[in-house]
Amino acid sequence: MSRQKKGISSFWISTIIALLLSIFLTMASYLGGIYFGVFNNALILDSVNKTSYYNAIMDYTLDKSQSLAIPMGLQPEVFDNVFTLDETYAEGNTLLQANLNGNEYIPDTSKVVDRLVSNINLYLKQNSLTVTNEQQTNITTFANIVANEYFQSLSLPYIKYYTNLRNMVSKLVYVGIPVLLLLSAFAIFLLMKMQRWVHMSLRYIVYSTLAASLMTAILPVYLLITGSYKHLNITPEYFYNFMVHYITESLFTFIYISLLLFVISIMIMTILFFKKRELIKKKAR
Amino acid sequence: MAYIYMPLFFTIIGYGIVYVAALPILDVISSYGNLIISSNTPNFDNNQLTSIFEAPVNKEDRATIPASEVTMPTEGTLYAQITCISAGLDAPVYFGDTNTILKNGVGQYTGSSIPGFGLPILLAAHNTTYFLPLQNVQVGDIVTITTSYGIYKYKITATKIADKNATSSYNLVQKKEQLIMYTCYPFNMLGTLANRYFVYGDKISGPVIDFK
Repeated sequence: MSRQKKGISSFWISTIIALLLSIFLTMASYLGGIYFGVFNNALILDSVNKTSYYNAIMDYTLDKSQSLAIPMGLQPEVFDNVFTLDETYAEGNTLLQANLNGNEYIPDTSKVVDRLVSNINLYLKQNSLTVTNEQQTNITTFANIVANEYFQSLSLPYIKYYTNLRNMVSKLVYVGIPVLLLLSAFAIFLLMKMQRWVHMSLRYIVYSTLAASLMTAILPVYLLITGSYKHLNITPEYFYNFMVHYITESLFTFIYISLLLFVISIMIMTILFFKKRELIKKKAR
Repeated sequence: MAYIYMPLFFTIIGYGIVYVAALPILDVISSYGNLIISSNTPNFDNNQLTSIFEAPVNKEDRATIPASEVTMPTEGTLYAQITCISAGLDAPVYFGDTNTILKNGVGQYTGSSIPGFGLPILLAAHNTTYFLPLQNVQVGDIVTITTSYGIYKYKITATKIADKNATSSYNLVQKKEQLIMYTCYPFNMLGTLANRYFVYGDKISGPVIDFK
């Protein structure tokens, strides 16, 4: 084989290996993004805190409870101080943490029931209204219905599906990332072996890392710019706000990984530059 | 330059491979996506109620009305007024039955028809507010629904107390303009709310919507 033909085939084989390397790195980046972004418990807790989730739950539950009270002939003031932010935050957070860890937790709503029954009785007393035993039972039943609504609001929708999915994906990540990194290492090894000069091998690696950086970023950047994920058809509003914040943060995780790959590319390019200069100096001597 | 076009070339090839690999499931992904993604950002301003209701002028004697003259209400729109003088019922009618609507008047289930279409109309309101007068409605009473396009009268044919989960209390697929009104039962304060009070009426007058 002539030297020129050998050079051409070496170029194409190196290009194909570099392409495969970029695909391995992209897949590893996406798996990393899914693990550290999409299925990151800290990100969920952060999104809950930053979207005033528990304040919104309180307002939502209060509004719903007041609507439930109308057919009972009760005034909105019977709900004064029934729901407190401290309690909502504490119970909601405990429930969320338990669910994220795959555990069951039933929030303590007994205080809500007690305060509501007490408020209703006070309201009846202030208005000189007497109630039958049946009506007294209905008050307790109503307070329990409200407490159940409160409990339903505290529970993050779809959290159990999320936990199951996360457990499945985690297994894939634990196997996938090491396998992809091993394949990447093998591809780098082949590139190193194929080229006579180190800087030539590094060049192909830079192509791969830059391509991986680009491939990792394109989809999240597209989604962030178009904001199409903000068209999510979910209710209530506080859950929508939480989801949008959570997805935005998850997409940024992919951008950070992409930036990391870009920085690695720059570092390799710097090494490449010095290696090349070293070689030129050697040749000049 | 190679540092630009080579990564770009890899990116195009990489995405091309993913696209080809995902081609068989793209339709499925797209279908599921369309279920949860709408064309616009959702509007949560449900508390804002609007109105298209204006009292009709010299329209009560018409037998038919062209469909083009009827503005279809959207959820949260006040489009009619319901009255029953003998029972003391006089309330605004909104399209939809959200909590906000039921705090402000009578709500219409969006799966039912509006007057004039020859189909059932299902209305609900709270037993302690707008539909409290339902307890006074008697068989034979006349209930009037005034819309911007015509005045409709219904003669009460029956009343019934049913379990709150009993769906057999109304038939929304019948081809008859039956007015069905319901509210929580009993009417007194601090009731069990386990039952519903139904009032049924048949259309006796009012223009028919003409689609020709």
